[in-house]
Amino acid sequence: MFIFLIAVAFLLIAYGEAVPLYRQKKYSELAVMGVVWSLGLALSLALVLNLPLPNPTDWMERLMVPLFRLLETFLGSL
Amino acid sequence: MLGSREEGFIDPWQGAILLWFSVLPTAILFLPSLLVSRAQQDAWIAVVVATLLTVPLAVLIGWLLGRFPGKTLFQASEAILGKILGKAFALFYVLAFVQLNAIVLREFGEFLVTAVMPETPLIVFTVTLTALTIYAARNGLEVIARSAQFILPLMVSFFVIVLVLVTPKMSPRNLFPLFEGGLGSLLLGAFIALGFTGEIIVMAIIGAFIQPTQGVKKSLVLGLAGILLFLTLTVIGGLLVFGASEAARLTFLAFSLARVISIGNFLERIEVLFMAIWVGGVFIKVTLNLYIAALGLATAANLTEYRPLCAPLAALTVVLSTWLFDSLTRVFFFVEQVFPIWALIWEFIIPFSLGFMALVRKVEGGRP
Repeated sequence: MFIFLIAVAFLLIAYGEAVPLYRQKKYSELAVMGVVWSLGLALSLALVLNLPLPNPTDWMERLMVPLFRLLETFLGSL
Repeated sequence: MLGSREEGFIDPWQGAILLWFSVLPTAILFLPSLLVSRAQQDAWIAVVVATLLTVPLAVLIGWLLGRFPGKTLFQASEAILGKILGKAFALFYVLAFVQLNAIVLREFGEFLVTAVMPETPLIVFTVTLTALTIYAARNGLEVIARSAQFILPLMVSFFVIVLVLVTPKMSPRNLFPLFEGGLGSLLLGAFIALGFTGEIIVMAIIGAFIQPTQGVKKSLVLGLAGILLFLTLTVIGGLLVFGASEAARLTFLAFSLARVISIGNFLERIEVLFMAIWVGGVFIKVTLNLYIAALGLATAANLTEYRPLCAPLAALTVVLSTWLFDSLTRVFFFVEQVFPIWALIWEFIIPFSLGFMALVRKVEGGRP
């Protein structure tokens, strides 16, 4: 069900944006748009299919929460 | 203007309004409870400190736009850092804005689900809002500015009405004693608020389209003043009505503020109105971020148009907004403990190093 909805949404975007670009022969626009479009499609499909994905939020938390804690203890001593 | 991919112009006053909308919608709803839990009754002082700390960034943005008239941050970075590094910089900012947008979308959806419509799936809100923002972002900056101008009076008048109507429930004792928690917690609160106020970095991009060019200063001053005023009033209002210890426990302080209004059994449930207007504010914020991300990507890839990029970028944002966080708690944790440092990096440190590079390498303007 969800896969169907995702397919409809992304096909709509492709129809609305890519077809006019192709007709106007704006190929570099088409390429950049295609990259972003396929990135979104791949991510959403992976999400629906429950594939194991590395989440950037985890990395950012691992990197920055210790820094925040450091600041917290530093400011707490003021 | 050649190479800017945007034909429209906005006036300084519209620039200031866009600046408010780029900070206030999420800040009003999410920041107060985080601030109060850190700085207790001094939370409003933390807002003032954060705004004062943002002033150097505003000065830098004004200086950069004065040195590179009519150039967005992306174009200026290409002039300063050279072609490859400049494009990498622009791409980094596109990613940062897409992530910021995903966070804002998630906050928007989570708020509506938690506070108003608990039965509806989150994705419904994010998708409907995004569909609308694609349409608005494709129409360009002028249209965004005009819709912001339309929503602003509603927002301000409602804001004033809420604050006036809750005055009977206020007690000034809730603000004292001052500096009870010490300077440390106050500064930590200000640091968290800095991540929000630092979003005025959008001015480094939309400021290029402000006409006359000298008006950028006016927009920055008016923008910061408005942000300071509304944010402080919200936090002070929440503190006066609820007191520090209860306010820290309320997830959405501003929403609860509208909720306590009850006059003579007929003027009740105004919070729905608050919600409607807040949705309008978030709409502008998301549109602006989407517009900036598309413009940045178009600049980095040397495209003649940013418009075809809006829809795919928005789709990516929706996916990211569902993927990056698994719950509202996680969003709050991120906004409190991760975002301030991340924001410090890309909203403050990197632009300042860019300005420093421009000084050292003596890069100037280009055609106005």
